[in-house]
Amino acid sequence: MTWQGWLQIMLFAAIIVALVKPLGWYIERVVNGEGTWVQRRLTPIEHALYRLAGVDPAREQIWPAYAVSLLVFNLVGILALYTILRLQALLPLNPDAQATVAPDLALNTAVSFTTNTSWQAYGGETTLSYLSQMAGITVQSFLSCAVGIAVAIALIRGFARRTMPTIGNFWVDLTRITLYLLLPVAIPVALFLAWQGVPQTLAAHATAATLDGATQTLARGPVASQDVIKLLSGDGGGFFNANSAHPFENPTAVTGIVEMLLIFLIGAALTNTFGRMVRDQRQGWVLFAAMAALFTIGLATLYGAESAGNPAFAGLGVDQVAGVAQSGGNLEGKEVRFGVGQSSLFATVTTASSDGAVNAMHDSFTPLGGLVLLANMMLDEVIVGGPGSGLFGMLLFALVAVFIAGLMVGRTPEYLGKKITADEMKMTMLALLCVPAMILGAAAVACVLPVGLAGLSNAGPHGFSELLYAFTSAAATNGSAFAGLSVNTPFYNLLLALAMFVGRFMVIVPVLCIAGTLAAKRVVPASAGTLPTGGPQFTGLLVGVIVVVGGLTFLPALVLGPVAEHVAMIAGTTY
Amino acid sequence: MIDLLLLILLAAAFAVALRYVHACDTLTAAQGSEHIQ
Repeated sequence: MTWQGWLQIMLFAAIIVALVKPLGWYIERVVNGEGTWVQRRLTPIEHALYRLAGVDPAREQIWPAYAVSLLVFNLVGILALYTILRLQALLPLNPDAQATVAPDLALNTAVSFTTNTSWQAYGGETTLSYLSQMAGITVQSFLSCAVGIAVAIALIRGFARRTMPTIGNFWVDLTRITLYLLLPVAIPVALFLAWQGVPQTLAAHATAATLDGATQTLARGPVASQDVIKLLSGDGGGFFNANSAHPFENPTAVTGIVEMLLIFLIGAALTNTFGRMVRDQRQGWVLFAAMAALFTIGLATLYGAESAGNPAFAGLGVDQVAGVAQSGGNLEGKEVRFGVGQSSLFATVTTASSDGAVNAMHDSFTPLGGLVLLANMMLDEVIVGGPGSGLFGMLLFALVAVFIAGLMVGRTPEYLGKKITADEMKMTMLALLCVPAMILGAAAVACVLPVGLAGLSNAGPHGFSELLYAFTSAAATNGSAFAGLSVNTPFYNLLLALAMFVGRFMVIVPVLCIAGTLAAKRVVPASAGTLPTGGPQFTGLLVGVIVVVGGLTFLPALVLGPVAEHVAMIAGTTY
Repeated sequence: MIDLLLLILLAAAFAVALRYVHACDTLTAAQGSEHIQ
């Protein structure tokens, strides 16, 4: 580890902490329609969109109507993206004559971006036209992000409201979040990225002669406009196959830190929005503190493992010590300009959130490093998580925590004055269990079928980690790839599409149901037996519950993969 | 042909999701305000 590495980690953390409160305040005003500077200027556009869609913004929805609106909207999104991909060879803005996308890959990609996963079984620069990137991928990045935030806001309303049958209007939430939150951030930051060197052009790929006289193709396109939303939305789908390791997607030291900030910004700020909407900001800080604690543990473990490198190299005389010439440690699969420090920070940020953008090859991380990346996703991505999905995931664990505390003292659990009953606990369990069931079930199927094993490029525990990572990334709607697994086959495209579908919608529906049942309840006054949830004691309980639930669920699978590989590495065997 | 098959699969998945909404609604409505304790 180097002091420069820790300095950028502390700088990153300080900026996030500084931005949580102002952005949390802004998001609250946006979703409540309380008239921000941006909102006052764009209101005519908002109302025009409602008129066009036939939506009455004053009419709120009960939770099933909210959920059905969301599902129908996403079905249309999948169909639209699928159609664009299947017809891209016939559509305009295809200067490099990209061929039509195969049906299974098109479905996988359409589900992937509609569910805010951005799992990519293709290389963007060799597969997609500019129209597919702009009207397909980028549009869905905006919309899937807005959907996630809308669900989180609906759940917050469930806690904040008293004896109300409704949880908001999906179409209004979707419109306001896109118009007043995502676009006002995305447009200036895209211009900033373009200024830093990220291409934004509709011209075809360039060709250049190398110093050796060979001809080289330089892929380019409307990158900046997609780059910004891939990060801000928690989507993570790169314009290029190398994602944020590509110098055209992440050209400078400044863009490196801005990209990581964009990934965490909304997810972290939503904790403050939560506190404001339930009229007790301490509740939001408790959730933020739990996220920060888990993030710090993961980052320190990962950075330590990557800095230590591979002990087998010591016998070969390979220098792994940090010095003037190198950042030391395990540099395989990492950009030299980022080093171990920023690669470790970026990898932790991208898996703790649901983003999935990468600036290093996760397959080349040490076994312990890979374990941290897997664990971040397996903990239901509540360590900030995706915009919205991280917060509602954390609130599900908060319900489990108060439920366990209630069982211990023999009282009906309460959270924020709402009695937590069998209804909420059943829905919480549904939401929390469907993701592990999907990950472990699908990984098990792929492990035993020849068509699944055919995709592996590494043997032993590392091969198992590749397979486990793929399904974890898909079901947790992360989208980052461990690499090393050939997934562009009908088997993987369809099974991973199913994992993404289940990991997104089978979680969102019970979350909205909880929002509906909570909103209908009255608030009971706190008594001497009420568990205080606004202090460090509850933060500790929450972190403990998350670690125990995640640990019990996934420990056997992690032992078979990264833990076994780590032990083998110490014994001198690598895979 | 494959497109049609995949679209049928997609429609089936959303039909299950809609049924899931109904099941969750029925489950919580049937329980009413039952408390754990």
